[in-house]
Amino acid sequence: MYKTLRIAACVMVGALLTVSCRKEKEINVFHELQDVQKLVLAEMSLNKVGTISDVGAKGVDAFINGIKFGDRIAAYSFQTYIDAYIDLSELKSSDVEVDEKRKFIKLTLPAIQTQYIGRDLGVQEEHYRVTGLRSEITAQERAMLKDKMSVALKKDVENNDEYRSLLVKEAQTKARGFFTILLKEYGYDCEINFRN
Amino acid sequence: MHLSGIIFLALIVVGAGMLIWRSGEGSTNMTVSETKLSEIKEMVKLCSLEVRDDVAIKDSINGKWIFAKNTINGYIRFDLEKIDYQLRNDSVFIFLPPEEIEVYESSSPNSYEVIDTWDNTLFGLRKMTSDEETAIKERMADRYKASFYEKGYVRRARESAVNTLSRMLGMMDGNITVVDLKPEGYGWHR
Repeated sequence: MYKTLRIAACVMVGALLTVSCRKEKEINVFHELQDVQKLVLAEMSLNKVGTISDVGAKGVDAFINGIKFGDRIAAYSFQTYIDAYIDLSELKSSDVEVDEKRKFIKLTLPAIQTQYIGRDLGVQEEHYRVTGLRSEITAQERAMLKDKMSVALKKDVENNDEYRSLLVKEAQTKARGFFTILLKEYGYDCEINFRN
Repeated sequence: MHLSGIIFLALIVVGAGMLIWRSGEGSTNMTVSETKLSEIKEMVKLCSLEVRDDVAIKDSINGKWIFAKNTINGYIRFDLEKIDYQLRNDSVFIFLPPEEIEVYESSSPNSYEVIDTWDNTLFGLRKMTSDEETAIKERMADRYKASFYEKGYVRRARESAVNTLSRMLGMMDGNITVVDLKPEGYGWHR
């Protein structure tokens, strides 16, 4: 009997070890500092909502969820930001043509570029319902969801040119308005174009 | 059946049950909605410094602790729509506006990895909520912004902004001088 109990104990310990074992992770420290000359003209905020839920599981997962007591569902959102800018380091003196007689300046600005500047640090909890014997949503799960949402967002933006063209158009309008007012204050009329 | 056999079977069932229960966490479904455009904001801001860092977060709130790795992007910018100027004789003096430091989490993959969380209170069963996690990250962002002054990033960014503006405006009018009244910056507690 003791032999049987010993085997059973080994099985249990093995199972518990499998359950409680955690991988150690290494932190790689990264640092990058860059001097830039960007004139930011417009910023787009994009929103994404993600859910963590039992609903939608298939096969064995659906069966496992079925035998658990309670529900587990939560929804989170956050914003991602894209900037439109011109790189002033690309501005050459030949891009500015001044006609002092007519008090007129022809300005050719560098092409508008876009970049992801980042996303919100935290997430907004839109909904949270964990009942019965279900475990609460963990920070690890939220981090995984956030990553998944960012990947999906970038794919959406890549597949839909409208986001970029809207932002670029807005930036061009702002640049025209800003430089027109600025030059007007110095007594110049102007024509503003963008390089392609 | 012997008693030992019954105990053995019971232990097997309990062990298997625990494994199924635990593996059930992996059965949680994560879904993502379509991207929605919230806003397009117009601005004229000169960005003169960009910093990207991996930051380790080890902090607590309400007795709950977190240890995580966060990749963050910091930007030092100047709002050119808030620019102040003075005309003296034929010359124009433009004053560099206060710096704005913006901090975001990088949107690249694995920018936020939670390595460990634990509850240091008596029973230690509570999990960190999203609001608590956000509060910890905001504290980290405040410390990060403060470090920009200590490390001289703000001074460097202001110097660079003066040079860029002088060059840009100088192309249009030779009588423009860009002046920095606070080379060390205005401080982030403004």
